[in-house]
This record gives sequence, C-alpha cells and structure tokens, in this order.
Amino acid sequence: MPDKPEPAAHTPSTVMGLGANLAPSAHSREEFERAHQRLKGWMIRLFLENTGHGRDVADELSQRAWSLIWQAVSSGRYDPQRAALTTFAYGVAHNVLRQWQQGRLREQRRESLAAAAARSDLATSTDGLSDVGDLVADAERVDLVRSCLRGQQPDSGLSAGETHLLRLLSQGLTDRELAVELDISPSTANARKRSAMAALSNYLTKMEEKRTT
Amino acid sequence: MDEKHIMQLLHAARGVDELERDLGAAPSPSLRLATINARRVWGLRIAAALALASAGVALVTWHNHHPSSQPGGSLASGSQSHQPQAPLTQTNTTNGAAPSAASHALPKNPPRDLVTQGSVVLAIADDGTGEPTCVNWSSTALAGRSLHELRDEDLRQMGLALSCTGDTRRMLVVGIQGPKSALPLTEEGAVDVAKCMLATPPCEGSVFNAKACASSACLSQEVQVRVKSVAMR
Repeated sequence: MPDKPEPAAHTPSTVMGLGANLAPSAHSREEFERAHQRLKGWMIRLFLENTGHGRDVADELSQRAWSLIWQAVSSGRYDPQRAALTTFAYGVAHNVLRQWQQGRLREQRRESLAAAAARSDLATSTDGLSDVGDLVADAERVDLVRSCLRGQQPDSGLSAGETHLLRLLSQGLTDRELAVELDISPSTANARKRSAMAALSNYLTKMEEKRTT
Repeated sequence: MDEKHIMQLLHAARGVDELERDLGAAPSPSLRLATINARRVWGLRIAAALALASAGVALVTWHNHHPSSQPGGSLASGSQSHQPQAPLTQTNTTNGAAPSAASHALPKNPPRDLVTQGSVVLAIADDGTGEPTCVNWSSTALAGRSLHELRDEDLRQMGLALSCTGDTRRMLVVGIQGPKSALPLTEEGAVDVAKCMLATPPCEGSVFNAKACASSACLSQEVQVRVKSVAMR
C-alpha cells in the first residue's frame, strides 16, 4: 500500500471539511468539479421541493450529499467505469433526502418507517444513511438498468417486449395502465410484468456475481 | 433482488434519464468550484432571507373589476380611477434585444446579495382585450432560487399556482429578479407592469417574442426577466 500523500491546499476535500488524507488525482478532482457545477442547481431544487423547508436546509443537505460524493470519488470507491457520476450523485442525493425525511418522521412519530422507505427511489436501508459502498453499488445497478432499457445489453436475455414493458414500468404505469397500453388483460399484464422483472433481476445478479469473482 | 428493489431501480433509472435530459438543455457551467464562496455567501443569505420573509408579501391579488374595452382606456378600481401608465422605463430595445425563445438570455451569475436583491413572480390574466383582468404576484415564489436555474416548466407551474380563479384565455407568467428598488413589489407597481406588458406594441415574431420584448420596455434594465405565456383554454 503506497504512503498517503500530503493533501494539497484548497482541494475539494478540504473545502468540504472532510480532512481527507488522500490527495486524489487531478482527473477525479476535475470530474468532481464538473459534476458539482452541473448538478448543484438540480440538487438544491430537489431538496427545496421535497423538504418544504428553506434554502438553509437545502444547503445543509446538499453539502452532506457532496461530501459523500467527494468521499467516494477521492477514496477511489466510486469507479467511473461502472456508473456515471450523475447516476451516483442522483442516488446519493435521494439517500440523503430519505435520511432527512426518516429523521423528521422519527421526531414527529406520524408514519411508519416502512411507508417512508416505500416512497424513496433507492431504499437500501431504513437505518439512516447508506454506506458509501452500497450507494456506489446501487448507482452501478441503476446505470445497468438504464442501458438495458435502451436495448444496449444484448446479453441481458430480455426480449424486445420485456424491455418495452420495463420502460413503461419505469414511467410509473400501474398494472391496469400497462394492460391498456399493451392491449391485454390486467392479469396478463401482471404476469408479464413479473416475468420481465425476474429476467432483469437475474441479469443484474449475474452481472454482480461476474464482478465480484 | 426482490420486485420492490427492481421497481426502485427502474424509477431511479428514469429519474436519472430525465435529469440528464434537463442538464443537457442547461448552459454549460464554468469549472470554477464555488463551494468556499457559497458557504460564506449563504451565511449572509440566511440572515437576509429571514428579514425578507418577515417583510415579504406572500401573495397579493389585484382584480380589474371594470375592464376597459379599449386599450389604454381608464380603469376604475373601487372608488378610484386609474389612468393607464406610461412604461416604467425608457424604451431600449437594444438591451437584451428580442430573444428568439420565450425567455430572455440571462446573465450567467445570479444576484448574490439578498439584502438589496429580490424577486417577484407575476401571473397576469389576459383575455385579449389589451388590459389585464387580474394580476397575482408573489415575492417569495422563487424561494431563493435564481431565475436562470428555472426550467420553463418550473415557471409555468409557479404561474399556475398563482393564477387567478375564473375563466381566462391566457396567462402571462413573468419572473423578475434584481435590485429590490427596481422590482414591482407594490400593488401599483405590479399592476403597472401588467398593463404595460399587455399594452406595449409587439415586436416582430411570435407572441412569445412579443412579450419578451415588451418586458424590456416595461421594466428597469437592471433586472433579469423570464416570461412564459400559458394558454388557459
């Protein structure tokens, strides 16, 4: 294991207050800065719209999310070959938002944590913020799903019909709406949905096993 | 991997695709990292925002109870009659000259100082008579965001949230941001801007262009403006 180099002055990690001991590559710092400039407006809007609080809360959550993202980038746990930084940032932001929402719910004791997790996009844990490693893994899965939906994974085993159905599901269509769209009965729509999801699940599992071996 | 997790991945995949699409439409940013400065600025902004919130008007509505059939005619509101006002500033079509889209091209750097800077969103009901039938406005609708960060859909949604009740042909949503001294933050100011926007002769081009051009004549050149026309019928 190489010795940890001295951190450079005014690196993003210092700015974020992480006090990281690693000096990341110039390339990863550049990528991070580029992503930060592209996504900071979107992230603030996400938190403003979903917390119902003012800019100070949105800023706080945004800082938290960018700290996590930088942590993953600077430590090398995030691999740009496996998932786009946008996808990773999207997952981290939603995870931070969910953690905040769960915290509020625990304070207010109005709803079950299970109901809160069901409203989230990526529920990998109901106990606060997910580990950075889990967030990276989820981003990889999301990008793999995205390329499946675009028909870019010929070895996925998904038929054209299954891919089309999964695209409709990603748009939030219910079983009844699927049935109307595909001109089939709701029960047939449900059966095809389960089959398509099982096929996708098998492919994702296979890819993960391939990666870990 | 259970079905619930697969559904979450599918929704997230769609969310990221939409995000990429939105970012693809946004102007490319500089690479300068503004985090250090942002932290300092936001300390000031939080204090200023609290002051603004206590002084700001959440939502104010003005109705034209006696719409005139002639553009530029007199207007009676309650017991007072209002004569049509001249445009607030000298016409200067060379400044931010007629954009080809519904929105002005905005400066890249939004206003930083909330103590003297502010914003207002107007929703102007237009029945094609040349006079607004109703104006709603809010000085807190932007919620601290910059005009240039908004998508057209965001502005449209704000306008719909502010829209007057009742049947109207069209609504003009005008987002204005800049020095508070240059903003229409009073009833009189908002009504003046609304009347000017609908009464100013259109520039060449589509209706969208016309309103975008009109805004440069109706408002101070110090402010940033975004305009969206929404068909209500």
